[in-house]
Amino acid sequence: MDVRSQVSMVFHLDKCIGCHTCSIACKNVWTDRKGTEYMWWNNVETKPGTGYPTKWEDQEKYRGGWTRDGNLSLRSTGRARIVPNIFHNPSMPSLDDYYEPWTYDYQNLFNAPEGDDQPTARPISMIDGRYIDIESGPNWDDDLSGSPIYAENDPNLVALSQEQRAQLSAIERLVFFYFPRICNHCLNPACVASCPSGALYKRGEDGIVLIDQKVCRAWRSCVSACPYKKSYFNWQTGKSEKCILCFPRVETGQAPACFHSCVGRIRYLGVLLYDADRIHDVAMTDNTGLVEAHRSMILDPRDPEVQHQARKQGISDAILDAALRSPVYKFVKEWGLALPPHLEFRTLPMLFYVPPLLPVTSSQEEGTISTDSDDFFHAIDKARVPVEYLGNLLGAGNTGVVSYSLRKLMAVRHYRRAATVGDITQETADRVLREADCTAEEAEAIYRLSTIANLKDRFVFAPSQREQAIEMINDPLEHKQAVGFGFLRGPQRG
Amino acid sequence: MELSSGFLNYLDVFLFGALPYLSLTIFLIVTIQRYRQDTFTYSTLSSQFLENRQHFWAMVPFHYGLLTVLAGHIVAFAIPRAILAWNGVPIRLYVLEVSALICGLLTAVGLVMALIRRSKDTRVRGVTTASDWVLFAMLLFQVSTGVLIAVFVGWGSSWFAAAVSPYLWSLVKFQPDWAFIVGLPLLAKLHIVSAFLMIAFFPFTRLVHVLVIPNQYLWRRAQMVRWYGFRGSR
Amino acid sequence: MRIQRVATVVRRAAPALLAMALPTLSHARAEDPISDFEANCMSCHTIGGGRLTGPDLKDVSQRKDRAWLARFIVEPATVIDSGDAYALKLRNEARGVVMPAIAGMTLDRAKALLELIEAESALEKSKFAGIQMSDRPFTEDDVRLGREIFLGTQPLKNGGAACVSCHSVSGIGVLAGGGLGPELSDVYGRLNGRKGLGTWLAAPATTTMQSIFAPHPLDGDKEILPLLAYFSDIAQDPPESSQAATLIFILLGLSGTAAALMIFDLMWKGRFTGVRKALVAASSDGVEAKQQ
Repeated sequence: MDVRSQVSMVFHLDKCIGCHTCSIACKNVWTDRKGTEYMWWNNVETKPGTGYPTKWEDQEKYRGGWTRDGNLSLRSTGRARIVPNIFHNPSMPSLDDYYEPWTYDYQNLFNAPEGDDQPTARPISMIDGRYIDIESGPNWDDDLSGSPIYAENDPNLVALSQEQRAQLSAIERLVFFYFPRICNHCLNPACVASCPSGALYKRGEDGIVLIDQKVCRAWRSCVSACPYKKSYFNWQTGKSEKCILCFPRVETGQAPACFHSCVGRIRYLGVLLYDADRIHDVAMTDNTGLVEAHRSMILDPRDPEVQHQARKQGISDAILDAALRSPVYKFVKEWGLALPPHLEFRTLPMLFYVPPLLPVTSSQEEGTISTDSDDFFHAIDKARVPVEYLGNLLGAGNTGVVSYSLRKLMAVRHYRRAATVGDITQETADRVLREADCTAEEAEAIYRLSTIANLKDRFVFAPSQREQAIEMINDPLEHKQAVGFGFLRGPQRG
Repeated sequence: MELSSGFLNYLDVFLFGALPYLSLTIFLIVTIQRYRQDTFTYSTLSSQFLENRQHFWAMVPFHYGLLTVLAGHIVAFAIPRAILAWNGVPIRLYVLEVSALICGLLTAVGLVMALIRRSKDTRVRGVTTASDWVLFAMLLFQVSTGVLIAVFVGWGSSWFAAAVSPYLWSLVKFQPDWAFIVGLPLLAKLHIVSAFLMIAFFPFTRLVHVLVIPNQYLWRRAQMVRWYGFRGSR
Repeated sequence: MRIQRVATVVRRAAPALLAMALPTLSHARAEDPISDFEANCMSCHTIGGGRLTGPDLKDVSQRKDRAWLARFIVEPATVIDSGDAYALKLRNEARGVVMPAIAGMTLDRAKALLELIEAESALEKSKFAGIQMSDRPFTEDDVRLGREIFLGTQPLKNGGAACVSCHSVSGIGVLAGGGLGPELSDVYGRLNGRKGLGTWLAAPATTTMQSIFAPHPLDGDKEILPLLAYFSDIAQDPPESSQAATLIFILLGLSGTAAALMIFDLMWKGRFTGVRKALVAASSDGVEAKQQ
């Protein structure tokens, strides 16, 4: 058993209101530089929708992640295929698949010669300054569920029948939810395994995946290998960049900017202990058992054997203590509520999503909305977002794990409704809890952590040991407005 | 008035006796200095992200052609006897020469495509620096003289092994013997001089990416983990 | 910024560069006069063996004073250009061939050579009386062997490069021959027939040939004789143009390149060419079709 710790994440999709505050917080802190304008290390997608970059989930096209025929191999350019493909990466998306960043020619408003028409500020490309017609932008398909161009091309819809698809985009039944995405800081990262230079690495202490900017040589393999398209190419410096989980903040005990700024408080950050010896086996599991296998490699921090092994591996008491109180552990392992996105890409993501319940108790029949209060779980199968869709997104194609999570979420609602409103009898609430594999205590805990948890309950992790912190060796103020430690000049091209 | 033969003699001595060492010295010093001081700039500076379609037609023929031609030069430099023996059969010589010409032409096609792409696509042009343009000019000169030599100063595989290889070895042995070279046709001399100039200019350009080709990828473990704490010291 | 850095680097490197360049510039072939003669004179001159391309040098210092001779050896072209009568006479005798300047030749070396020539002239038979080669008539076999040596199918005994590497002659088809050295179809007549060409082949006078063949000399009877036979044979043929051969070569190259490009295209058939634009175009078409 090789016990390692990972700073992991849970996003509670039921609570996401799609305000993009997280995206903006991230953008302002990290990607407002030249060459990174188009990057959204944190972005919020509308589902069903094609996302960013367009249709990133379609690995037939983007060829990200791992395949499992015989042995685990990269779908893009692994060891065997990098040599002939290093000059032209055959699965590299281009700027057109994200969008061309632009600003407006504001000067024209002041400098335009006098004329009959109002001067306008035409959009100009932030790359070469030419006038452009905007064809796409950040969140181009925001809230565009049901749109024939974007929503209908969501790759997850393949799991649905024609009828279901038609219903999903039918007027007045339109439905969508938000899907915030950051780097998953995977256990079996395809980006790391694909980098010919060895510039990408996973930090041993907290599992954050980073790119060493000095070692990156722009071979572009990580961009195509990451199935979530969360490694971005900086066209100005000629280096790849990605979400760093705000490690300078995490090291000092602060939650990452997107977590901290989240208006809906949907984000949880906590330590998970996992068995690194099992990474390969889990990644090789077939789709049906994949979610369970992934969950099973997460270790119980209360287990004395795990604690003993963890100490032997040098995991500090502070981290062990954080693991004991981890909200992520509760959501993922104890309650079985949170699920990893697209686990079938086999990178073993460490970001988990609590599936959105949406208003499923009501269904539209014959033009009237009825509430069926007897058979709650039947309603889940008839939910407006089909379980098959969520199963494709969060269950590696399995609906079972998604249904389990949705039932429990529903049971908690009934439990709280019986307690606060009282139009549901205690017996019904108890029966629903039983059927959802949930106890009253658990329901209470889920309710508290989901709704009224404050900052210190949602973000439980240990700041890095001061003797391990880079700041002890270098004075951060000396490098203010620079690019990082150890650089002698700014990140100029060439 | 014609240049006096004395001046030309000294020019030959400089170009083929001193320039190679000058270039190599600049190459070594600047490369090492740049790696120490500006590691960040050691990059291919790929522009595939900004333009993905023409990139294929530029980079694939260029690199495959150029690498094959370069490998040919190196082989003829390293084992000239074997090349001459191989060329002893006329059909083998002919096949070798045609293949070399094809690779040269592929390089030229790729280079011209890259030039068109750089000048036409405004996004790619935006990330093109002055040193890129100079490099383009030098490469264009080098590749076109190379192709012209292949066509008009025929059987370069043989005479490279017979005349240029011993000259290069004399450079390696620090006993430069330019007598091999001074009688060569102008085209061949231009090709050689521009190669030396390119070596000197090499460390100031994006060409440095050649020096950091990722060889360790083929045998390193797929996943990389870095430890900062106590495990880092083990 | 960058330029300043380069300047610093160059300034620091200058002494090292200078140290490296000095021995290169002062490089010279300081050899004893015998090997000097062998390397630089023997291909055109004999001592007591009669005229080759250049005159027989036996007793040359009795025909002209040593100071003039030494100067002529160092810079022959300059002396001829100065309109010196004797030099012009020499040139006419050599049918217009000007003695090549020898790289690194100095007055001292020239004087040492003259002393050697004087000493050898005094001998009954100098060792520089010309190479000794059989003067039997050429046979058909000689011509055939000569052709094989020229083409390189018969490797040279001492490991020299085959003639075809650098030279072309008429009558060898599309192969034509190398373009580095001059065309050799009429070399038999140009270099004074059997004796002159034979001596030249034994000790070539151009810098390139000399560099290549000094370490790998040709064998007299077994290699030079057949080559002479071959050259005398082709000298009788009418010269042919090599343009067709060049054209075929170029066409082969171009079609090979086109084929390679097509192979590249096939090998990377499924390469990524973009998703969004195609998606929007296809979906927009679909929408329009529905509306109609």
